[in-house]
Amino acid sequence: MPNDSEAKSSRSVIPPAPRSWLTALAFAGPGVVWAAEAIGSGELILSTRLGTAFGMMLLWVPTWAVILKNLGPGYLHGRWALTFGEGAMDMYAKIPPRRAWPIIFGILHILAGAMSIGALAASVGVVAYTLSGKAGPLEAFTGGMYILTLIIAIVGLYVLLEVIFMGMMASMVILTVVLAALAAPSISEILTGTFAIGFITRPADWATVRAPGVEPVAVDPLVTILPVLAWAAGGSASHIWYSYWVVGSKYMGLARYGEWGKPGDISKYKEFTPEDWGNMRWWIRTQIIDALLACVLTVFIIDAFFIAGYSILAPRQLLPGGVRLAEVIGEMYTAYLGPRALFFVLVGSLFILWSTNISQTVGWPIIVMDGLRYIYPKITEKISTSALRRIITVLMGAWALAWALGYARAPVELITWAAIFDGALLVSLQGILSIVAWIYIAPRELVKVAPKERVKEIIPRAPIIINLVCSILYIYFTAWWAGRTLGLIR
Amino acid sequence: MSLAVPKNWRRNIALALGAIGIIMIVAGVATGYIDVSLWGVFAAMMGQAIMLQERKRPG
Repeated sequence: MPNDSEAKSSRSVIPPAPRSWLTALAFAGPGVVWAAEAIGSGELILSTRLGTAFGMMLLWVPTWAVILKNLGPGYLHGRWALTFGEGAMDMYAKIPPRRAWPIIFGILHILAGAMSIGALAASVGVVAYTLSGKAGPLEAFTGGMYILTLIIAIVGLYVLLEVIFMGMMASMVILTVVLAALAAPSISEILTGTFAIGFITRPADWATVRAPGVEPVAVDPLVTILPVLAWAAGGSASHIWYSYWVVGSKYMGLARYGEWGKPGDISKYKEFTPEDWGNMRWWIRTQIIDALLACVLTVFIIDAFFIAGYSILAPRQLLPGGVRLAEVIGEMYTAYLGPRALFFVLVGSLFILWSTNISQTVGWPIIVMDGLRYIYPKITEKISTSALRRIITVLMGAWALAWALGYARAPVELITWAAIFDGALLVSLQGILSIVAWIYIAPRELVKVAPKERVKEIIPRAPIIINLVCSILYIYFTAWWAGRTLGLIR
Repeated sequence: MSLAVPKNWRRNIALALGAIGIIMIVAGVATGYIDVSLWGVFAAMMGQAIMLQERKRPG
């Protein structure tokens, strides 16, 4: 009876959830955004370089980096947004010494953001320079493209460009997967590489030789492996953004009442009906599907770039990087598709990197602002949120531009540093904080507003274990890299 | 800023892009002009992107 169902839905605290795994797939929105945003230099440049220089035995690096990060810290950040109706910064703020964490993250993300945005801007500059037929100094293209990016981010034109970017990204993904399938090594090679976890080999000798316009890989394999671990499927910022996207969905669990930049209201659990608890279980399953979809999509794509690099570029001894970055990526595709495909591929590569660069320029100031409200809570009373966002965007943009111009001819070097900082150091920290938040904080907070047996239902188990494995792996590799870089270990 | 056109118009544009894309893919493969096929994939994928936005648009 319609009246009955209307009365029931009006009593519901959270929206009705899809009640099957298949319909849950239709609600997988934030995960698709996550996968689309994360595909950038980590896939197009770093994974391709790794496959080219090291061969199939290191396929485990991008594959397991994506699986562990997506289903560990990434998933847990989104799950917090679903359970508490708030973004990641408010999760950090609940961990002792409480507001110190969002402040630390906010400050570290100013540096991580400027470096990462600059790294992508330098790559965009090289591709635009190649696409123009080298019609001017490289630095003019780097600077010009980034100023255009900044204008798009400030004016908000990104919404209009979104369809073009999504269309081009999907085209390039399809093209790369087809290319990898055509050039693919044997299934046994793929399986061996995927499960050779922890196996490390030395790079091919030719890849370590410095030549004009080329950035060679370091002889130490860790210098190439760690950035791929770090930036496969995005870095620490992507996990924070995922929590914002889940909150922004407005339908997943308590996200209905949440918004980024505002602590959630878990007192809503006190009003939960048995129907709401049933919906909550299914919203949790929906988010599992959401994160799994992001994970599967990203693994396919990052492995496709790795395999294409190994199968096509390695035999030709071509390494993407330096001023010849775009030319080499172009050759990867034209080897199979012929020279007519070059223009499309260069435009596609430009759009993949450029769309990520615009997302970063828009998204990073939001993380910084979210941290800033813990330093100076009344700031939004003095200045509007949109004006503050624009000011931070311009300031971070100016710093990013300085990084981009400084590394215009060596974009991979800057990508490496940015990836290690944003994706290795900060992901390690995020992993530890996620464990503390879910094991120590969440049960204590939730038990105040919900029965114990219900709290047990909504606290995740397997993702915490995956997150633990991820944290150990990332801390181990980061410490190993730091020890070698500082000359403490050999 | 949003495209202030009625919902069915966006859907029609998406379908038209999909149709043009498929024609371009077939034409490119048939004539050996691979770049025509690639731009066709791009047109079809833009159509898909518009459809995806439609699905996510509330109401």
